Amino acid sequence: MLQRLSTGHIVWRLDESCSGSLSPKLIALLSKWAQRSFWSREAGGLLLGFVDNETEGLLGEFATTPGRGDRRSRTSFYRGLRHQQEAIEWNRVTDGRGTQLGLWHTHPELDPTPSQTDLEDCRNVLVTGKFAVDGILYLIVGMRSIGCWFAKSGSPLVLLGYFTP
Amino acid sequence: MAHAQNQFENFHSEILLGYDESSVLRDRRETLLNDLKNNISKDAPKYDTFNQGSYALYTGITPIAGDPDMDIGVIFECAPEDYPDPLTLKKYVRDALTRHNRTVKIRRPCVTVTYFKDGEATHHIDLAVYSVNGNGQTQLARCRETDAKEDRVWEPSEARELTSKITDQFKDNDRKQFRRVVRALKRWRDNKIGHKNVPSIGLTVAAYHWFTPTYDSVDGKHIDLIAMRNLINQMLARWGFSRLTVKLPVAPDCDLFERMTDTQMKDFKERLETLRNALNEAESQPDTHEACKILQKQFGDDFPVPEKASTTKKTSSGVSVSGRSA
Repeated sequence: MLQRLSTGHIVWRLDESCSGSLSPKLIALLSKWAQRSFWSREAGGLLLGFVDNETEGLLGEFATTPGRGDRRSRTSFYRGLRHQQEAIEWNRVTDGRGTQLGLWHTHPELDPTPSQTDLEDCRNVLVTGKFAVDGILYLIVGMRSIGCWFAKSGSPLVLLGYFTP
Repeated sequence: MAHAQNQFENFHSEILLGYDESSVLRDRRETLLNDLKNNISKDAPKYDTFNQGSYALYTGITPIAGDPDMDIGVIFECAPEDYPDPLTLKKYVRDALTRHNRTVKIRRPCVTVTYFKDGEATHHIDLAVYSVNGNGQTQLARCRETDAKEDRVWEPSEARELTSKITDQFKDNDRKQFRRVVRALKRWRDNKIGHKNVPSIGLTVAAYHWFTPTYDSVDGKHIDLIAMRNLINQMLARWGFSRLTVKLPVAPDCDLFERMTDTQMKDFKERLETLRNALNEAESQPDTHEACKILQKQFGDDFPVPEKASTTKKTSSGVSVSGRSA
């Protein structure tokens, strides 16, 4: 379900009506936060991008990153309210087109899998949040690969695949 | 996934050169035909004229380099036996058209009239000269003045039948898609290979043989990207050991790529594979803006890349609550 294009984009497709892409810039940004050292702490934030007019694809282009209001440890990340403020600002600077597409965070493991805490957070965000399409993209940046899932309210996460940055 | 159909259609509008679109060529054609009528030798037999080539097929494009051309057929009401030396008829045409504002040159397949502005060729019109044999088959005068007599020959050439066959192969909107795809393929050829190395008629006849109209099964709209990708796959699948043979479906039934060298064929194949891969990547890309960037690299600057602002939806920022991951 994942494919790397010669332009460096990673594209994914769940079904006829649900697809998306991750730009090379977004992939580079996320991989900078990978927990490659034993002292690196978890990082995370919101995935930002656009929705394509023709394909309805979710176009991941940018992400909020750790900062003020967040709490980070080796094995957990608390995402503060500032991320939502940055999503609003992203929408403003993109003339009302930029929107949040999902969540990302890091794991200190080679090929990451979502923990129970992750699943709870994802479920809570889906139930209480509001998004441009029915569902969100869920990325976990591991030490070797990045795992991609798609989450819909009331359904288990669907693994889209892993790729190396 | 992106089909960029609007962009394919805008690209087509940008590159197409048709009889209706070029008033200059249209006017020149009328002038030439009038000159031919008024000035042709009284010794010449009666004749009829018709459009042939890309003008007749509606597959003409504006050239990237060089001057645009137009092809006219001149059929004399005579048999090859009446003029064993076909040069005689070509000279009648040449002499009737010679004027100060253009050059008229007898080339082996046709008589070429070239127009100039400030010393630069602006466009040219090729007139192919035919007779008709006892079976009603048109014969093309192939000769130039420097050819020895034995090399001045009549060759079977059914240009009108070819136009009819290609035109009738598809109907209505399928025919329009066929023409769009042929024009796009020709512009790609001009952009990547050069006009001279792969003949236009070879690409057009390849599409005649192997093009399949393609549209969305839900909304019925044509999808040029997939139609072109499928056509290229058909061409690549038919590549023999080292060559692609594209047979003319009328006399003289020749291979339209026979003059290409093996090196040109190899280059052509590799570039077709690259185009096919680019079309596949563009289709896989859900970002219409990025898909068009991929396509522009193949088709050149006339293929439009819309701004992201015009390919993405107006929406809100979305809302998400704070939370913890681990």
